[in-house]
Amino acid sequence: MKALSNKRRRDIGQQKWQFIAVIITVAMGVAMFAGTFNAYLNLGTSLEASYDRLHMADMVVTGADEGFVDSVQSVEGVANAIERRQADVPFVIGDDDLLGRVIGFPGDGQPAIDQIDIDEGDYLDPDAPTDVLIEKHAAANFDLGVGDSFTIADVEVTVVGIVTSPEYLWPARDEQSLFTPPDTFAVVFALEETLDGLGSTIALDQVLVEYDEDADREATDEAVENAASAANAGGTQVLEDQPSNSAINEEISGLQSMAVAFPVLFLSAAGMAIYVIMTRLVFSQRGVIGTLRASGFGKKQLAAHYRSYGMLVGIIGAAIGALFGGLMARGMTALYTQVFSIPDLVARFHLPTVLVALAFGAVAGIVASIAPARLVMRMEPAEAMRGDVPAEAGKESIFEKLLPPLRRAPVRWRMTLRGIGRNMKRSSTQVIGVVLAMTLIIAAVGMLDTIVRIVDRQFDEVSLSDATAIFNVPVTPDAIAEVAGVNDVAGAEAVMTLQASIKNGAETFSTTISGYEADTTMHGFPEPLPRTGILVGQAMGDVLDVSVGDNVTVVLGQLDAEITTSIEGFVDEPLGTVAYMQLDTLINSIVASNDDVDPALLTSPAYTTAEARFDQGANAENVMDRIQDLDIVATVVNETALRDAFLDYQAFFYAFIGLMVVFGAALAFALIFNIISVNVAERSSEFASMRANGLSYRRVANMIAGETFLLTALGILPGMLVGWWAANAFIKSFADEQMPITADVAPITFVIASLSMFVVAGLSLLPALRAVKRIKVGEIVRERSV
Amino acid sequence: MNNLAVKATELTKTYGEGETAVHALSDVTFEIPRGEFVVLQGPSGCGKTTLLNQLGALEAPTSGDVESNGYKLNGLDDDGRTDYRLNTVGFVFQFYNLVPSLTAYENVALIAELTGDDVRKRSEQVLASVGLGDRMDHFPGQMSGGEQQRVSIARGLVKNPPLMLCDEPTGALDTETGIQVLRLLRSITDSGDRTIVVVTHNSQISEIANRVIELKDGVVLGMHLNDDPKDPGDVAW
Ligand SMILES: Nc1ncnc2c1ncn2[C@@H]1O[C@H](COP(=O)(O)OP(=O)(O)OP(=O)(O)O)[C@@H](O)[C@H]1O
Ligand SMILES: [Mg+2]
Repeated sequence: MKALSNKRRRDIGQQKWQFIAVIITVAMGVAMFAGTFNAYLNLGTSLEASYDRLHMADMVVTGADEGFVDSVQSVEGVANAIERRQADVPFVIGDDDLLGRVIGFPGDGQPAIDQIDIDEGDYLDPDAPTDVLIEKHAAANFDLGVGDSFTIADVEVTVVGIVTSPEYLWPARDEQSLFTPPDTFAVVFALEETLDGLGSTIALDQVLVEYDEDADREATDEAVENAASAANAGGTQVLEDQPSNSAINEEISGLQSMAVAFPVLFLSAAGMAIYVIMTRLVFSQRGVIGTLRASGFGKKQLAAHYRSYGMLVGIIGAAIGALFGGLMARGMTALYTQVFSIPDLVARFHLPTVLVALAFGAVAGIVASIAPARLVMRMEPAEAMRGDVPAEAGKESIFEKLLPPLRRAPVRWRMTLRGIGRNMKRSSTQVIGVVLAMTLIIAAVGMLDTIVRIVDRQFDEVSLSDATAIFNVPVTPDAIAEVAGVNDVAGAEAVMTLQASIKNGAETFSTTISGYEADTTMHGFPEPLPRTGILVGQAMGDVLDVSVGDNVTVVLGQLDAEITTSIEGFVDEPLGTVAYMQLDTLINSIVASNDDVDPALLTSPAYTTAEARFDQGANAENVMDRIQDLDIVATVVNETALRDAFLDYQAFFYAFIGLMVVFGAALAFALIFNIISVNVAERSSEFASMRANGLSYRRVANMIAGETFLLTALGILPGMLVGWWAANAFIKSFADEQMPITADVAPITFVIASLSMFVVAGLSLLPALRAVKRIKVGEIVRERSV
Repeated sequence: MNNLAVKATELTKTYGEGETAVHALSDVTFEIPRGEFVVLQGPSGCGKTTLLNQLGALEAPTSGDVESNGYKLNGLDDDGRTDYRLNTVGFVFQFYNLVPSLTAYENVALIAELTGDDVRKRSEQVLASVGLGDRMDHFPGQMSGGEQQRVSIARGLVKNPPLMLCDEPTGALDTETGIQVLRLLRSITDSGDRTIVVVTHNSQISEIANRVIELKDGVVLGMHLNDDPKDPGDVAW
């Protein structure tokens, strides 16, 4: 109906800033949904596409008996299996010494499983054993191009190609170090012959298994694991646990929760704002509604008219949001595929996502208008005759009831308290708005707090060494002493680290076990290492369902050894879930468990390294260089590199925190601004009469500000609680057995979130107070109260 | 202090500009001595409310001036006008404009607090004087129109202002209640030092006034005195 739509247009025009605030809030929510959800879908699809094309292994089995590669092919669901070897060896690239990884590749072309993309250069030449292909993260980090040379275990190699590997889209060394500092790790692909030429290095035998397209993943995993166990395999790794894959999947699932959580927050806020504006509009137009009803308009027709305001605003906001979201999705997908270097960018335009986003906006608008439209249905034609608003029933505020001395406070203070009770729904809307905004801020910033706390704990309490020296000679006490004797080195200790599968009955946990000196100063333990027995990570204890005193079996695949020992305690370490024993006890147990183990093998530099601490104030780089210069040392790994890398990102973190605070503030602003505007509009005649009776503008403004700040304050505590809860829920979506992290929100975050709410409330007040200042007392008092 | 309560000099108020300008008041000049009950009357739209708002410093004049109880209103800034209203004027509006979340007592006390000590005593006294001694803890929503109007009179009176300005105080009331309210307003001038100006478009009510100012199209048509004002109860309306 033309006249009604004119009315709607003018009504909206009259409150254009309020409606614009709502439209922006809807648009933000919808854009975030369309952008994030699309990115989430695209990222998943892109990853799948790359895995399919490059035949990413579905299972990696290490150290199985010969013949396993053939026998596993007959397992139901298995499509193919190949053998391959890899070894972790010292690299020297320019000035950097690190423990790199060499993966053996066939000379006659790519393997059938875990293929690579050659981004630059050519594939390996079967007649050139010093040629290598370097994984692109390492190439970028160490600035290596085709034709450049560096050293692997004293052999000079030449880069002939730069490649992308599906196993290293996220370059992690292993499950225990998902955050591998880039300066400490590099992956190259080389001929088997090259691998053989790397001297004393012990290469790991792997069988890569690829499943049928339509295989039942879980059943096949289990069947292959059983077969591997029968073939005495040292370890198995399903695709889910593959470090790169699991890091990317964590991120994808984080994206998914973000894609839902953010829009829910923003659309709820927008919905509440629409509710507030529309309720007030309907109320102030009750005379009009009564008149229209008296003139023959039906209840439903008028209800639909008022519902259409919300729908219109919702759709406009959603359309703007969907547009930005669509653009955002392209950018976000591109950004993410780049961050994870996924070679196949499938950036589809998911029309359904956009439609769902549009629908979200419209539905938020309609749902928010339902209650106000219901109000319309309840209004009778007789309202037109009565005209004036039925006097609200005043009552004492809850504050005065709870705190009777307040009854003696000046009336203008009590008026502020009662202002809150005047429209409970509207007041609770503001409180909820504050809670939502604080939730957004605390959850986002709390996540960063958690990371900061994890890094701090890891380096202040758990990992206490500054560097690890990897030797090229058997690790004897003399070798350790030589490292300890280096200038500015405070101490050095031997540390043995082995791949381990820890079993209790049917439960298995794949991890590493480290042997430390009894009185180690390189690693922080809650209590001294027990003389016998084993300490395991808390999460491992839960998975294995063991308590102190229980026996577990530790399978050491690399050494073909199996030891039985008792759980002596649990450690709670932020990065990784691993196991610890006293070094001597570990060595003695291995020797005792298997007569075939050559005790000399245990001094292999592949298993035992020296962890070193530097003197306070020493220049770490110089000390590492001096250790590196020892003839017996192959390479030195900087143990604090992760913290350094983390510090490098600090500016980015602060930017992220800033952005989240801005988002939360925008959300709170849209709501509080609308609520105050409506409040002031509704009470203009009341304020005008107070002004006429001699209350100064400042007094009236203080009263309004008092109400606003009081309501904001009421939202602070619940906001902190819900925010803390949300931070926990959010963190949980990133946690897993290997990294059982829990939220750790810094107190300052609560303070920042709370203060920002008061700042927002203050800002939202400004336009409303300007409106109060502009109230034409002389004009308003000549009208009946509205 | 001279014995003039209000003196308006060539007071002009124009709303809007150019073609659409409305000359709500043109060159209005008059004097009101202290202690009188004055009725300002005229047809709808003649400028009564506009004039009252000028006397109460709710709006700035376009030109001319009002002197009232020692204040020259033209040239006062917002703080000055607030100060003038607080110390000098009590307002009563046609639609009461009480604060719905405050009781009768609190509506009055809100203003009493701004103008001195003894808030409770003064508020209770003035409410008793308007006949609401037993209704002090009622909220506006629980009171009749006449009672609400009496609360708003009490709110105007509590600061003991020399000038009361009432815009159609009986406009929303029935005859019986209207008479009560008019009696109350009349009694305010009994002491002789309070002046009251009542706006009405009802010419009958003018019979109870000492002085009647007749307004039409923004100019003063005439002003006359009643030697023997009637009692509100004797007026037929
Ligand atoms: N803000 C304004 N803008 C333009 N014109 C105005 C404004 N306020 C009042 N007027 C005009 O000024 C004139 C005088 O208005 P005023 O309210 O003083 O009339 P009144 O005598 O009180 O009428 P009533 O008895 O109906 O209350 C009217 O013509 C009115 O339309
Ligand atoms: Mg009027």
